[in-house]
Amino acid sequence: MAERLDRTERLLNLLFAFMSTTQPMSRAQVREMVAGYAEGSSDEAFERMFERDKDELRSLGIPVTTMTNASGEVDGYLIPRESYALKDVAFTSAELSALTLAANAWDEAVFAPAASMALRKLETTHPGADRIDRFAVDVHIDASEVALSPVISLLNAGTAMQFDYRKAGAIQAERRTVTPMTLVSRYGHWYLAGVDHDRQEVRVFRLSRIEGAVKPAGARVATPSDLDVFALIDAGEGSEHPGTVRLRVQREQAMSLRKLGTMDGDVLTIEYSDEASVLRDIVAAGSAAIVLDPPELQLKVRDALDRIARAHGGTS
Amino acid sequence: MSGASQRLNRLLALVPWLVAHNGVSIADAAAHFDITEEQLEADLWLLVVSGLPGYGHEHLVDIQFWDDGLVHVLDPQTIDRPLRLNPHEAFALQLGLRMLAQVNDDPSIASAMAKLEDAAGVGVAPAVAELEQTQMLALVNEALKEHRVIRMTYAGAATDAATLRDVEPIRVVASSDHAYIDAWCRVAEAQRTFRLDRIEHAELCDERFTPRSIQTEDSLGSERFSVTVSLDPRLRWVAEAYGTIERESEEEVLAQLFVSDPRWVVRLVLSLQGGARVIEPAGIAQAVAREAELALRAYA
Repeated sequence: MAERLDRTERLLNLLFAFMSTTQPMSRAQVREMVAGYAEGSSDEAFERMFERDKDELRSLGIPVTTMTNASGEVDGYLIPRESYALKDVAFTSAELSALTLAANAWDEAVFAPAASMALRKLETTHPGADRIDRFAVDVHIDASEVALSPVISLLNAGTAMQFDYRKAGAIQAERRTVTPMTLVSRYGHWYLAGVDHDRQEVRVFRLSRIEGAVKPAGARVATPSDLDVFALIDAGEGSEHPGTVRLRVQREQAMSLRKLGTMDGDVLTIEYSDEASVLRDIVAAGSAAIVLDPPELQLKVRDALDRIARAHGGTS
Repeated sequence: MSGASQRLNRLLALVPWLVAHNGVSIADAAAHFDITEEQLEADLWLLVVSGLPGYGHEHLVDIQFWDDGLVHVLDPQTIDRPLRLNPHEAFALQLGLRMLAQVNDDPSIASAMAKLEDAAGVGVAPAVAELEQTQMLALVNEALKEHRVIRMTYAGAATDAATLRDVEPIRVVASSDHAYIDAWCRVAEAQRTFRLDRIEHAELCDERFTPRSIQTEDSLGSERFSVTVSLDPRLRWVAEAYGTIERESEEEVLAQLFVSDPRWVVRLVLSLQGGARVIEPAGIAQAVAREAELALRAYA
């Protein structure tokens, strides 16, 4: 055996020590009794090693519990076995097929291995899923937002969070402190809803606009009991310059534009909440959708078409 | 997660699994954990020297495996049960199940969700927006169950124009942004992917079809060609979403977009309202000019 214990081995020994003790185990006891810690290292080296190992066990989700006495001093540590173990739940083979599909849906660095390990744990006492094609469904999850992983960790830790957030259209990011309430996914975008500590109101944050690290930020503040996240997302997502536009659309053309409004004959009326967005959709439709009114919007459309035609060698 | 953490995570899942599959071969165990047999043996050697302080024979994990290549766990000490799910693990499965539930109402999906929440304890439950097209989904699911042809009016992204076609549905795809159907299109005589919200109208035909073998690779994989565009720097995202950046400066981003349908590019360029200019191929630049002029004439 090598002189210094393999780190995994030391972690495992620490785990066993904390799991099987009935009384909290003190640092001194760890140093003396647990293989891997007594190797004649200095006090400082032991402290560093012990703290790092303890944190690492916790980062795996292992409930290393600090026990303090009545005066608030640390007595030692232990792991309550019932908190450690996965509850023994029996799954039917159909349920396992569903779980397997869910696990296979991920294709990125953090959650794919987590999903695969989760499935392994749940399947421990079951045979593997037999027919994952029983639902005739495929699931694909694309979660490229870097902030998703730290947000999940912190949501679970139950603290407030702090991060730099760049609002749509803003040049600079602003530091925000938030008590998180819920995490939602819509049209492939992730949003965090929570109480903004400075504004003292619920806000919705798009995860792709969080820049840099997401850090714990102390105690949570009170949160309202009800929340319509999707309404908040809609409200927050750039509702600028609402209005009404009427268009003549060609038969069987501009189908996605029609969804935005109502048809009467070949005239489409759209009540829009965001001018920039409807302008984009109208110009994209080209000759299939012609603006009847209002004149201001018609002018913007014609200007855009004119720019495009001239940039591509056309004459207008 | 450090290398040591990853390995520990595996060991903690390995021992309970070996307990439940007593007498399994090293080869099978390695395959199940997606590691080499050498790695599994190294893991087993590490386990048998680990245990409680004292490290006497009765304190160590006792696993026998060196005799006949079959693994017998005689004493797993305190790690006979798997570690509970950590927040990332619970979240990953919960989200997958919720997306599955969006498109399929089989009761076992809901019951799997309930049992998972029970097993995971308190955790992060992600919310997923409900799909609007519930009736369409119900129709598709019925077609799938009974192998019936669907006659539908569909407006593809390339043209946004309604076309009628008969399709043989293969499966529903629940994706982060939209729901889709993979189906054999009788018009294209090929497998295609259809976005659920672009189906204008659909009905079940009486005709039943014999399921064909499924193409598993990306059904958008018809030939692609490249289009060179000059973009306003604020539209850099277009290059990132649809192709690669060739060159960039303060005035422009030069990009290569990879597309399968020229009409789609025309729509894209129009939607950018002058922020994009097609440089090559000339045919596409001309198509853009033509469409813009056609629209302008309607205003004159």
